[in-house]
Amino acid sequence: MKALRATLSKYSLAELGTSTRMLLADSAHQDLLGTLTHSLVLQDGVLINTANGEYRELAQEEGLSREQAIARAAGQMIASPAGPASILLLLPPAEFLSSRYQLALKGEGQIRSAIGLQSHTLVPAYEGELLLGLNAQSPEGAALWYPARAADALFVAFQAERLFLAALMPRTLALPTDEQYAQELILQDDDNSHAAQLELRGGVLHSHLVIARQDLEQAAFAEQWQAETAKAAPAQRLLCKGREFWDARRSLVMAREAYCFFPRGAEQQGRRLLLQKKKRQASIAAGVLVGLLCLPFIANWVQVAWLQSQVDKLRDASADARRSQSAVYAMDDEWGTVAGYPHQNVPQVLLTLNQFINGSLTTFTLNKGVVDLSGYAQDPALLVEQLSEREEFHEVSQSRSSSGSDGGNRGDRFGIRLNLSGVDFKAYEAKYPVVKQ
Amino acid sequence: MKRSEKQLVIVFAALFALVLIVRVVPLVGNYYRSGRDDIAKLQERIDRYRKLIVDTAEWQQKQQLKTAEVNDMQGWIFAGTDPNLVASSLQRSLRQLMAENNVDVRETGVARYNYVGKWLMVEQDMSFSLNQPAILPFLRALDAARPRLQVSALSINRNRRAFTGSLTVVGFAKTADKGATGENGVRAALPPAASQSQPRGAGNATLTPFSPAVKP
Repeated sequence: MKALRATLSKYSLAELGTSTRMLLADSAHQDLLGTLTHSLVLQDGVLINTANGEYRELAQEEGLSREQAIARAAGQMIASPAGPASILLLLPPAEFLSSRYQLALKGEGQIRSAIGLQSHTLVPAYEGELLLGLNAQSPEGAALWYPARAADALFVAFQAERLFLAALMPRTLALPTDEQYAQELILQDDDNSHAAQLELRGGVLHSHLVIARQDLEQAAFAEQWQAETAKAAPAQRLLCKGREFWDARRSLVMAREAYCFFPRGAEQQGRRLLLQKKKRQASIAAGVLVGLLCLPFIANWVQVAWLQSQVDKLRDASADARRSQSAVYAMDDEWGTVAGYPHQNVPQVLLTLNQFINGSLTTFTLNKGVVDLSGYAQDPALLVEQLSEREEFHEVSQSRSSSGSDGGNRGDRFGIRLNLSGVDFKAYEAKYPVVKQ
Repeated sequence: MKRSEKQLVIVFAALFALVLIVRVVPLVGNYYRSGRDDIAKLQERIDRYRKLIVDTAEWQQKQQLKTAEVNDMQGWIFAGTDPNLVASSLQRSLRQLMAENNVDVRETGVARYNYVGKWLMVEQDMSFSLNQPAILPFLRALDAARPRLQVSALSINRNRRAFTGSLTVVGFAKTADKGATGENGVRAALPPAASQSQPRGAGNATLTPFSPAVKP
């Protein structure tokens, strides 16, 4: 997090915006190049399909522009009912302008911005917009330029042939294989009209020299050409002397994104592709988010379904036990009124009382668990204590004041009230309420 | 999109978010909690069923014991469903019991009957006089009587050598809507228990706290 904050703090808001735009543009370009289905190379007035060696000469008709001629030749070669053809057009190096740069700047954004400022001074007589091709990994090298109007004219011409021109690239950069591209190379590309030499180091173009064959016939130009080309550092040389090289290629050319030029229409298509991709990613992310949010509910449903199946199984397995249990409960319910009626064991109560009262009881009243006694005793308080200690009785208390007897030897007259343990008429009547008739 | 349209969209989005927070989120939360409650109930049921499966033999034994108990209780109740007839049966049973135990009936009250659930509960008051030695045998016979005569209230007074008392007993009978056969296959038509049973503990038949100077 700290590292991210430090990185962000290095950039101003404007720089962040530029970086984001560049990132999006790069993504759009990558998406666009990812859709390539054909690579066509233009050599000596012939358009060659590198995948199969098929070729068409450019038509030369009055009223037919060069762009239209290229598009028509492409249309004749590519008939793709299976789907839209996305084309990388490889043009001769002479069609590209170049400028050397050596900047004490770091970062692709800064280098590209700085070089972009040169576009108006590069070709003084040319006022149109130029597209820039540049690998800004290195602070020095050669930048390529291509007129935006020409790229758009090619795109429109291809569109008229129902073809999609995704990108343009100097054909010379298609000479090295992927493995060779990262090495130090001198690429020599000659055709009938021009000779070209490009110096490539680690994927960065360092020089782009082009001369017309007519000029080479003049000794001064030839010497100058020799002198300039000789400046290149010794490196592996790759040569392309004519059509035979492309005829033998028989593969789709890998586009070098840094030196590809994208017509405006292709850029828009790239942005559309990027937008579609982002939408698709957003949809997936939304789906995943919804899935995650639904996960607890799905987990609940799954758990409920599984538990329900368990309940069903166990219900079947416990059928015997449940039958017995419900029978027991039903019998309890049915016979509870009779079985639960509080039983007052009167004989036992009298026998217990007989242990403490020696024939001096005058009244014995039992009413729903409450016993009232009266009689004579030598010590009524002791009698209360003794009866209280018996577990058969509880809440033993004197119900009247003691008084001396008339006879003398019978003791004091007493009145005692006690409750029978385990006899609870109130609970019974609450559980089984009486319906008065 | 115009600025006013944007503002409108923002207002609607805010309202939607408000409704989402105030209404939808609590609803979703409640729905989730109800799901958890369902799971808890199902787990509880599973535990109960598992315990039942383990206790199958125990419950079957309980059923057998309860059935035997109910079979026994068939003899506790009076036959018939008519309250007057049941009251007459109870009265007759009580009188017979008193006669057999040398208890003189002084007054027989009018039977009261009530319904407790699906049972007919008949209460009978009776006042009596008796000798002291007859008290305990009479009460024991009452306790052992079949159909059962539950003592609700009892009063015994000694007036010199005479003992008088009053008694309220309760008897049960099935009401008319009860079938002849119990719900659990317990047959109502079991051999009725003897209306008079032999009193238990006959050896101590004369021991009561009314006995003068008799030690237990």
